[in-house]
Amino acid sequence: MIFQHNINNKNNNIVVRTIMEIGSLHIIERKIIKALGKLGKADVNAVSKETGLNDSQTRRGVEWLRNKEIAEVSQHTKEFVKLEKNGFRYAKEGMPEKRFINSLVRPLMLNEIREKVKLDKDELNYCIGNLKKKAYISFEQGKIKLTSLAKNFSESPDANKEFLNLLSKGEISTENLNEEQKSMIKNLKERRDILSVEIKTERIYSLSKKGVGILSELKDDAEDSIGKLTSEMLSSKSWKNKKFRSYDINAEPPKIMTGKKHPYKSFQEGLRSKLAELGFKEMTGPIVEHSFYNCEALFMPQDHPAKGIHDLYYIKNPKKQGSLSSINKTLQNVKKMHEEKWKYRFSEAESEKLVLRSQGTALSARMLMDKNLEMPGKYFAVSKVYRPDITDWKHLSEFYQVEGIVVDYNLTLRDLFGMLKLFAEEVAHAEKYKIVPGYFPFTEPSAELHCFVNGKWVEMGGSGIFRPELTKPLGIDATVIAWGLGIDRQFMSKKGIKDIRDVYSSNIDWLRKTDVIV
Amino acid sequence: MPVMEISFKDLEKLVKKPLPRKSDALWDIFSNLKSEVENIEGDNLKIELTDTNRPDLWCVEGFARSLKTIISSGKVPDYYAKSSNSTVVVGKGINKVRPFIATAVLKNVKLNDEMIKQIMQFSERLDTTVGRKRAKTSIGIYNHHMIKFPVHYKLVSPKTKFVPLGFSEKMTMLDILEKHPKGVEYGHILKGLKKYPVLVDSKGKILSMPPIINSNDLGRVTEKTRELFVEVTGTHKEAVKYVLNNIVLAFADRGATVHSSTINYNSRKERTPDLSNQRMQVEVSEINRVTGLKMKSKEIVPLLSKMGYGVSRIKESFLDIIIPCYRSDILSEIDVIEDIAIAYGFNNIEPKKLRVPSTGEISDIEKISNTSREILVGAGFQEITSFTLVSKELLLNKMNVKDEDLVEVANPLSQNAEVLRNRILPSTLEVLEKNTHREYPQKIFECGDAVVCNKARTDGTETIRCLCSAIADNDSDFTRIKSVLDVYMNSIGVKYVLKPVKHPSFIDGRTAEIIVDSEKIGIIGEIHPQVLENFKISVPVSVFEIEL
Repeated sequence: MIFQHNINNKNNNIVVRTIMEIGSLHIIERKIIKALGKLGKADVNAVSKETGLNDSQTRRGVEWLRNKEIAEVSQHTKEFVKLEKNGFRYAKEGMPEKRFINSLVRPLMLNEIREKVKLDKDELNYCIGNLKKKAYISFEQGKIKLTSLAKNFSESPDANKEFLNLLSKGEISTENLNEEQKSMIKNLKERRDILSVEIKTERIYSLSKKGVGILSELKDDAEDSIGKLTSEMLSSKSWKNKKFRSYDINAEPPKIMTGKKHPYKSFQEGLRSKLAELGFKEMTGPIVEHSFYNCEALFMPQDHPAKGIHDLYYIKNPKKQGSLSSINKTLQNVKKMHEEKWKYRFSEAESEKLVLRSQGTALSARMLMDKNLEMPGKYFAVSKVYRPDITDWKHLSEFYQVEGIVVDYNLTLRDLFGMLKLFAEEVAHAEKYKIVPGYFPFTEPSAELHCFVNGKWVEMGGSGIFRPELTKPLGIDATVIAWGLGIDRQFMSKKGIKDIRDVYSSNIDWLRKTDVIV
Repeated sequence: MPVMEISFKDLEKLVKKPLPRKSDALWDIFSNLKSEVENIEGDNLKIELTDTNRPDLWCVEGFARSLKTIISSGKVPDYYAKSSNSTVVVGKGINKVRPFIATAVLKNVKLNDEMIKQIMQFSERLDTTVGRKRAKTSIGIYNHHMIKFPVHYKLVSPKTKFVPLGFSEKMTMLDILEKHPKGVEYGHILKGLKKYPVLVDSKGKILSMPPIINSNDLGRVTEKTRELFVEVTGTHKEAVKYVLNNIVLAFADRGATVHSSTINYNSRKERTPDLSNQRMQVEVSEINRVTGLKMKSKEIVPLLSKMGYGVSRIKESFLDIIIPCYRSDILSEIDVIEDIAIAYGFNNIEPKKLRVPSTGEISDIEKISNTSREILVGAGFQEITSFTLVSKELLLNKMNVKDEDLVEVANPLSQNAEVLRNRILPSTLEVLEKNTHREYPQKIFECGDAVVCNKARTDGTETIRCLCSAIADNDSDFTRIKSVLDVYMNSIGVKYVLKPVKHPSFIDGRTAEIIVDSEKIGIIGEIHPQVLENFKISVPVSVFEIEL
């Protein structure tokens, strides 16, 4: 409908299309169509010369026209001959063999010839070999002399030199050479650095049938149509009574570089909102922790392998380790429970050591000891945790964990399973899920959540009820459900990432291209 | 988590029942033991055992022992030890080094190559986990026939010589610690001792040097060995006894008879192994309180037997139960309740909608971080994320900074992860360094954590949330980054002033502290060309970083 006024009541599809196309032609395209109309067949140089465009504009314009089937491009391969270093020299000085012969006014020693004609070793060797073969020269008492056959050769004009002279003015297509010249090329090509033959592809432009049609429709005033609308046109009202050039709406736009969030950060942000929506409050805490919150408060015995230097980073600086004097009562309760149940001597100094948080559960321990703990309460944390692992496609020495707790009186396994069902449905969007017995050191009973997502079973997370040996010393008499979700894995499966290092990618190209929908 | 490779046929022989060959069906059965099928290949079955507190499952015999009562209504056999006249005399000073020992004799043992391999793997797993890499407990198995009792567990001079397993010549214990692979691996456990523990028989033949290595003659077990002497030494009494139980029960399940030993400590005598069962009373109300079910005690009894427990008394309100001797993981009632729930079937426990009223909320620091990220994205910046554990080289040398008080880890695995970054900027420049071949302008930012030393706090450190943004481009300069800072500050409604400052990472005269309420919150400026050169960045970079 937009173009109705352009077609002068001629309800003919082809005409409509042609006019639409004429309307949408770029000024460069218009110039090229006109030039080709005038030149017929032409290469890029000729078209550029005619239009005043530069070569790359011309090439681009022709490419546009070709896509619209207005212009045609035919390719021809041609051989071009051009001179090399020695070729230029011989064009001036003459061919070495000619000079060699001409120097032999009397029999000469080889070094005398060299002195006289200034040829290098290769050239001398060629001359001797070639002239001897043709029997123009012979050797006598160490000297070289001409034979009777040589006369004819020395008196004939140096055709090679003339040919090289011709080439020294610029490369020549073999199409323009005669048979004699062609055979000279064949010989000279084999000699060092005289000339080279290069095969070039030549592109010849011409108008298609459709292009010829468009040319006839291309009115002179078309260049007067409006391209970019400017504020000046608006204020001067000069746009009135003019036509707007139609744009090629399918043309590739230039790329713009927009600001974007990191996909993994976006994913975490979404998870935070989701958990807050489900009634969970976010917990935060320090990266450098007392061993106490990270281990002992969770009823992890002090000789547990996960406390060893292969599983936990200890701190060298600051040298002074932490202090737990402010929570001494809880520390003593925890110590008593450890000694009673694990049957060993608990070291307070070990508890005060500083470590890098190795599990998000440290935050839950802190929360349970916090005087602001809400009862009932639901909490979560997205926490960075650290483990001494060599970084590879499966392991990182720092990564994120999402976990939390639900605190209330009279919570049962049924509530725990209800929460896992909620996670399966609301967080993982699983088609189906399975709850199976699991093992986590701090919880009893423990359960794993497996979800069927994107056609496969994935272990989504773990959960359980904190052991009474954990909660009691912290002064909690309510039930505490603890849970954790494996978010790295979820994110990787969503994004089709195989190498865990790519989750934290800082490849700017990838970040610019990757969508942030998760 | 241990992974165990066993034979299907062997497992079926032990449980006396055929098993499904499909991994899904197996998973359903094995999940009762918190185990997963890793792989099935012909007769070869690979099982992952996730419960690190149940080493009794880490051999095919133990796994079958618990599986049997789950898939058929069998009972756990009553394990007992016959008496024998094997005695171990504990010498002076052992109590200060590796005080505990428990031993047993096994007769009617029928071994084949595969079983020897399996039992060695089981011992290895026990030594590594329960034994804390042999520091807490370690196992030794010997040819019983060759030993002349009583055996002495005592301390001897490090110059004592014997032929260690796998070697052909006598070596001093000192040499063994230095040259034998096991000595190199576990020698640290004996570090600093003037005398080393040894097990030696009445004829003066050395059995082993615990916890390092057996001797090559007494300590060599072959297919032909019919009687074994098993010994566990260690530093934790319960662990030592428990490990011994696990080994002897594995043989007992294969038809061997267990015979006890007498351990003669100086002041007292003890008989090992102790295969007696533990007893516990479990309240029915407690079971129902945890599971959310309404079971009567009679309904609970079959569930207990399914999990291998015995029941000695059934009352309406409680049950007296018998815990098999291999279940050292049972610390309290709650562990038994979990087993009851597993036997009941997690699938049969109906989920209840979680009705814990609470208001959800994202933390303040994340809220302000999100707002900050949105403003910078709006200003056309690409968010990046980088690691917080970095090299000193990055924070100091590359940044032209001489020395700073950094939080440093004691046990780094590589120089690339030895200190926590105290600000984000070095990481940001590192990201630019990695992207020098990509299209400019590069406008990036990160909102993330850094950790600084803070003597005022009990943990001596403080985790801070920082925002760092950088423009890398031919016409990147102070003005351009200042307009970003300006739009950011305006958007969060904070008034700030800039105060000129000198900083070795920045160009003098184009660097300022960002001050809010007369407190320094960050820095803005053009990165010094020397620093750009250190990072091989060949365009100007201007940045600001603030603490949120």
